[in-house]
Amino acid sequence: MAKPQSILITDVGSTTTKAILIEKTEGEYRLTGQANAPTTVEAPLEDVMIGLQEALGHLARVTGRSFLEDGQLIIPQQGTKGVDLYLSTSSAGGGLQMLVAGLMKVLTAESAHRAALGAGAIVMDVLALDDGRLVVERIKRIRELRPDMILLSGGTDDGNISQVAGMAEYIAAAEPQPRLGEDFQVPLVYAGNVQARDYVEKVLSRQVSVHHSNNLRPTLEQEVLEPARREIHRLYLEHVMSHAPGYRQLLEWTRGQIYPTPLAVGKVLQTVARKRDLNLLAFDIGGATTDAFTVLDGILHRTVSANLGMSYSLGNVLAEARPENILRWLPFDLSERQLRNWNFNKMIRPTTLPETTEELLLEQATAREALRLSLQHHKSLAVTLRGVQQSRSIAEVFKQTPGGQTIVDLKKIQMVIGSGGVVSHAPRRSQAMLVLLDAVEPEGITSLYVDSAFLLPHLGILSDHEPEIALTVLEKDCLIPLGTVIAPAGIPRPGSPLARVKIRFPDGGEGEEEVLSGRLKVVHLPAGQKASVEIVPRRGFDVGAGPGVMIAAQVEGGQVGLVLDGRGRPLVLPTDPQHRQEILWSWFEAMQAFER
Amino acid sequence: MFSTEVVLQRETVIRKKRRLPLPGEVLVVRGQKVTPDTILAKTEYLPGDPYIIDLQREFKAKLTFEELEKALVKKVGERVEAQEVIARHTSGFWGEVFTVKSPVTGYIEFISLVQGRVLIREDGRLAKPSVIVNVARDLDIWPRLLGVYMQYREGDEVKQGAILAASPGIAGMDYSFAPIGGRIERICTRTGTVTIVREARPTLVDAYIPGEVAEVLPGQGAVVQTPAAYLQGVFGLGGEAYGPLRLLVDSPAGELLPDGLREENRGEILVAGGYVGLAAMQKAMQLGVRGIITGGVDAIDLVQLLGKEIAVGITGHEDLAMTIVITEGFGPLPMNQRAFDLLREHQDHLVSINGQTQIRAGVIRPEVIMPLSTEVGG
Repeated sequence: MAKPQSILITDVGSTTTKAILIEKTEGEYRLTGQANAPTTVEAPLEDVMIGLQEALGHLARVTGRSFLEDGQLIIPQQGTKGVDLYLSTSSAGGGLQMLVAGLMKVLTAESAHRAALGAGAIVMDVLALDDGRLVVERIKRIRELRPDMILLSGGTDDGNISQVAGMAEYIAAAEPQPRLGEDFQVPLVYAGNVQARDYVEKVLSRQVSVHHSNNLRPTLEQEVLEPARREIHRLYLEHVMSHAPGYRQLLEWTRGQIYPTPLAVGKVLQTVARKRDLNLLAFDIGGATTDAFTVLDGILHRTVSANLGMSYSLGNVLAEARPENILRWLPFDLSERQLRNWNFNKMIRPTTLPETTEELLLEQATAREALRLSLQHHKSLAVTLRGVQQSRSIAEVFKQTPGGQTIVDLKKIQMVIGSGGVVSHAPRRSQAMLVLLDAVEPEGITSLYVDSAFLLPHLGILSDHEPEIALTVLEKDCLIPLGTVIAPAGIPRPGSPLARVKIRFPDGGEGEEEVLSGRLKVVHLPAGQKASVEIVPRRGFDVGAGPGVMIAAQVEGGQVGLVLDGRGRPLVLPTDPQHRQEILWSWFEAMQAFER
Repeated sequence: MFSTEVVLQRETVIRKKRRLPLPGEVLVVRGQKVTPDTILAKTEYLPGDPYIIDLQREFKAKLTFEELEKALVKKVGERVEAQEVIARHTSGFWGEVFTVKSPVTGYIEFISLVQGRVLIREDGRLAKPSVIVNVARDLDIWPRLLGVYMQYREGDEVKQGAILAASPGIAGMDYSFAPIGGRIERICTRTGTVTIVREARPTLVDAYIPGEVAEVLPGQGAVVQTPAAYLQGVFGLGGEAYGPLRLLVDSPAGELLPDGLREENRGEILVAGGYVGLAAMQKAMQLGVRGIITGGVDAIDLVQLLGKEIAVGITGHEDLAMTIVITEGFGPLPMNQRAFDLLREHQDHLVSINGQTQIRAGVIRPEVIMPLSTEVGG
């Protein structure tokens, strides 16, 4: 098939519909325009196509390319009219809302939870036989929820049938009703013990439409999520989307190519990780929620921190992080009283932007804590399988870690991407970089990026069709490289360096730097340039190859540059307020993030 | 998204739809004049409690799926009378017949053949006001030892399904559960029984605003309507309240101080100007003030008044005896002049306020309704 010359991609968000156009100009695919319009999925309009057509109208004015004729999309392109490919993502109307059920909370229910999150769903509730609820409560809960889809898992193959069947009976008793539309049955993906399929079908077939997928946990030692995720996506398009207001036409236009927004973001991250052969961590900080993604050895993990966000959920960030943890990032005195007032004023007026440097510092301090908490949450969910027998040495027996350890090892993460207003629109890129450094505390050698135009969903769905084009646009028009950080892990002693770094610049020049205890230092290395480094950590410090082991690598430049972070890991701030503020200022000034 | 502009209307018509959560009886007629405390509708209907019957336990046998299917004489959705047979099983050499009877009148809501359980939903209208549980029999203990095993005392509230008593049995613990939620009225060590009384509180819906019944919603409630001035706040705490409006400050920036509060403020809605502190709010609450309207307040004081964090921007259901409506924001912030002037015009009039706020999604804002008609309000 010939490569498309022009590609239109829309993301129908819960409040805004964002349309972008990618065209081949001078032999290269580039973003040539973008336009927004309010999403019209809710009353009074109740038709996504209205908002979408408005966005396309704006985009036509910006780009000089018209897309519609008699209300129909022109495909393929004819000169300056129409496009060759149209794709869309959607999270409107609350996205894909799923109910997840399994037998044991920490076994199959947890696997089902991960499968649903990975498929881009919003998980409304996780039911398990050991969740402490009464039968009646469980049935009532299923009845109240009105999910778009249900994922039922349970039992290993050849294992327990009766309990899975029991869970199926609860679902049958609740007669779940769909959230959108009325004349169809809620789809249920059964991904449990294959032996119980017939019985599950028998129990549930009158109440829901049952679809089978591979068992998520064929054995306790195995977790197979991908087939269930694919089935969820197929059903999402076939059953759920086609009942949402206006989506039937959108499905026609896109020829069935609509992805839930988080799924698309996951796809693009997986593509990046595969192409660059690395592990990455990405955040999307919204007003109400924060999504965290990791791609580790090619496998995607996603978590949603539902009540950590920079506007509506600010009150919860304060409650969860505790005020003192936000205040510690401020280089000036502020009382808890003032902090809480600022926080609540921002919560009740979500669209206000910081007007003073103090407000900006406050916002970024809060973002650090919101990110830190969502990373913690992510680490707690991206874990090794529980319930798996492990052989343990005597020392490990005393550690009490029977599976369920996090698989997120920051030393193995080579790339961090931040998305969301507070980092993407920070007045200086160095501020965004510092927020990410302080919140994530990357270890070893890590390159950092921000998503400048919130194009990850668009490029995600594109990456499934045209991965090369998606990567080109991603690198040229979407991801802004901030630079690379070298951060030896270990506890620094005042006055003694953590590592020595030899740098060979692309112009042939050479330099040698010390990573000084408690300090940040920026070495000039512009975006698009790469330098070779040789890092020799001191005893006890680890830059990825083990404590004290030398490492040689290529590092990428960025709008900030190459940052030598000698603050140690874990990052500890002084408790004395005066001293702490001095230290913060020294970091801000070293990064040129703020001036006194 | 909402505007940061103050929403204020000097003259408008407020219509409030007032409905019972469950079907009931409407007590007013169309055109009737009402005051905020007029009861529009009431219901004594209670949703019935569910009863779970363990067939395996009742039959004292582990039946197969097919045997259970055969044993059941009722289907899901069917009505059963109290003491009616719901399952019958024949077993043993002599063909002994075991039967299981429904403890209540109601409907079969759920049958699990896998677990051998039947869930019967009691008909709420026929629900007995009290239930006697034979705990001694359930646990196989001497009645006079009942006190030793009980988890509750007389007068305690129990939730449905709670463990009333537990004792070590042959195969693990034996439990006796509360079949209904209510209050423990009597623990009888002579008979080994526990009496639970259902809390029968009628559900009422009041008018909330003074005015006229514009429409009757049969079996549900009514629509009350009144010409009024209207002021929208930005954040609030506490639900609906009403009372005479009183200004305790003389300028929009004025602070409501504890010393300014008097015994005669009981039942009133107070206007605080630009600020009210924790001490004043606490004193107002002690005095029985129904509500405070203020330009600003410190967020930390609200947290302390409430005794817990306000995490997500959804309020209105907190257990607070006094409603608070904030018109400007957090911190000392003078109330905008127009709002202050409007409130001053309605000094001494009966007003209705609601602190309910939802920042996300539906965008619910707290409100102050100041009826214009002095006939009912003033």
